[in-house]
Amino acid sequence: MIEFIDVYKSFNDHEVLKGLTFKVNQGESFAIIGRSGCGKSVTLKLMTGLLKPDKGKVIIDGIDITKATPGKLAQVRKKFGFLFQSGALLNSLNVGDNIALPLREHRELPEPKIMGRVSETLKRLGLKHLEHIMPGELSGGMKKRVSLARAIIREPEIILYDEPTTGLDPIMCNVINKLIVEMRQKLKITSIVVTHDMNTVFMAADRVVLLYQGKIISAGTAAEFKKMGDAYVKQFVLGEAAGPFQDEDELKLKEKSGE
Amino acid sequence: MNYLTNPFRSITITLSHILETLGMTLTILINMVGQYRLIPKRSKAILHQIEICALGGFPVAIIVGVFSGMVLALQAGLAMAEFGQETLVGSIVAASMCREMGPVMTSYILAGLIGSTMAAELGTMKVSEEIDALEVMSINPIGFLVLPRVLALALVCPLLTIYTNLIGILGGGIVSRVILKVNFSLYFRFAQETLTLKDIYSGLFKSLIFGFIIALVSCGQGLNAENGAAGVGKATMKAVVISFIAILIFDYFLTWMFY
Repeated sequence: MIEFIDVYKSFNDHEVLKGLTFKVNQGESFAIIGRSGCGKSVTLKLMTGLLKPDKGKVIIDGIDITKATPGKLAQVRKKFGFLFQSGALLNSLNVGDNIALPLREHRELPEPKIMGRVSETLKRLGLKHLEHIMPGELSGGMKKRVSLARAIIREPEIILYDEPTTGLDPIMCNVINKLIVEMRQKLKITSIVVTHDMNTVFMAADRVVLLYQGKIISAGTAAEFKKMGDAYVKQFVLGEAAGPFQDEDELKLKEKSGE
Repeated sequence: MNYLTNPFRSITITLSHILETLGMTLTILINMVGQYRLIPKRSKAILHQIEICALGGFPVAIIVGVFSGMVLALQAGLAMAEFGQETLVGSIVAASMCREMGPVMTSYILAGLIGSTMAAELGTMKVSEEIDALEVMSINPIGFLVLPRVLALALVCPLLTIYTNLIGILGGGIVSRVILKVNFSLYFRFAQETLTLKDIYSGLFKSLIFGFIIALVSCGQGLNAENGAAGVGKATMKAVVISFIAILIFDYFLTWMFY
């Protein structure tokens, strides 16, 4: 189980999260939505200990990772698979080595078994015989799928998706969304998806929260979000230009100028 | 403008930047020392880095070595010719190259060529979330990326220095022969007679330390790059400038230690 308790995080003078509190149950598919710059990716980074909160607790399976030693944090991180927005594949390694990297580094399997697992995972994601290709030669959709392969190779308990469909064409978006659903159904893992793509939310999430100005302003199931009368949710789901949301960039500028 | 009108503020800011850089570099050093057990596991990566450093520095070392020796021979030879002592030019060139010019010039080449490459490479990895990806996979980026680079450059720097020294002495010999009309055998006899074992090993020890510092500083700057391409550029520039300054400072103290 993942729990955020009254988490605050700021960068320089800009407060991104202001008392964020939520809980994700084991096996659940949880979506965090919100406008660009509202702190969605920061939330994922706090969850994996890549960032430390200014205040509050981040509890992963009973361990408060904000106070964990580096050794303990490394143990907790082994529970996670992370699909980064950019894919974050190591450009100096080919696809096979990228996917095999976590297994090789932690010496969890002998080499022939590692390569077998890599081929099997690539096949599962519809990427057969790509082991020797360099990441630079891959398209955006392929990069995301290879990154997903790397994230699931160690069979994590929790998988984090940071804007999995951003920058992809609609067909590839659908492929990725289907993969997210499939991963959850087949591997029975907890999924946390950060996105502003409502198709991803409706296809892949059990529960959704809407983040605005560092706080959750709406929460519910995906089905509830579809019908919700809340003005913020409505504007976000329908993607309307006019509504209660203020421009985050404008807010940041106002904050900077002290208005 | 502020820096010009308020020199006290400018000194304070500069001092705080120096302390920050020092602290960050020391933290990486301590973390890296703690990863010494990984050396056998990283042997392949170390060899790969040795190849990059040696091949990158080799061609420029020829030019720098030969012209350093030629300039030394010309300056010293012309001054000595006024007293009829130009036959001794071999002693001056050999001692200067082995004690000072060889290690310092080689280190400058490596700081400009390899240090900047390291900072840019790691900086790009940082801004494209590759370093975050390593951390989420419980792979220590310092053990994985910094350790092989630091060990490789610390080994390559003395090797390239031997080469620069030899080429420099040869360059000096050519100038002695062509401009000063001192024959080769006399030039090399004085060069050989003057050089002591201490001249050679102190120069090589300096090179080893310089190589270590260049890689450590450059990797540190790269790992702390932020704000996209502009941040990577800034980190690269800082890596080279800090390496140059550190080489000079350490050169003084190492010379003082040996002589």
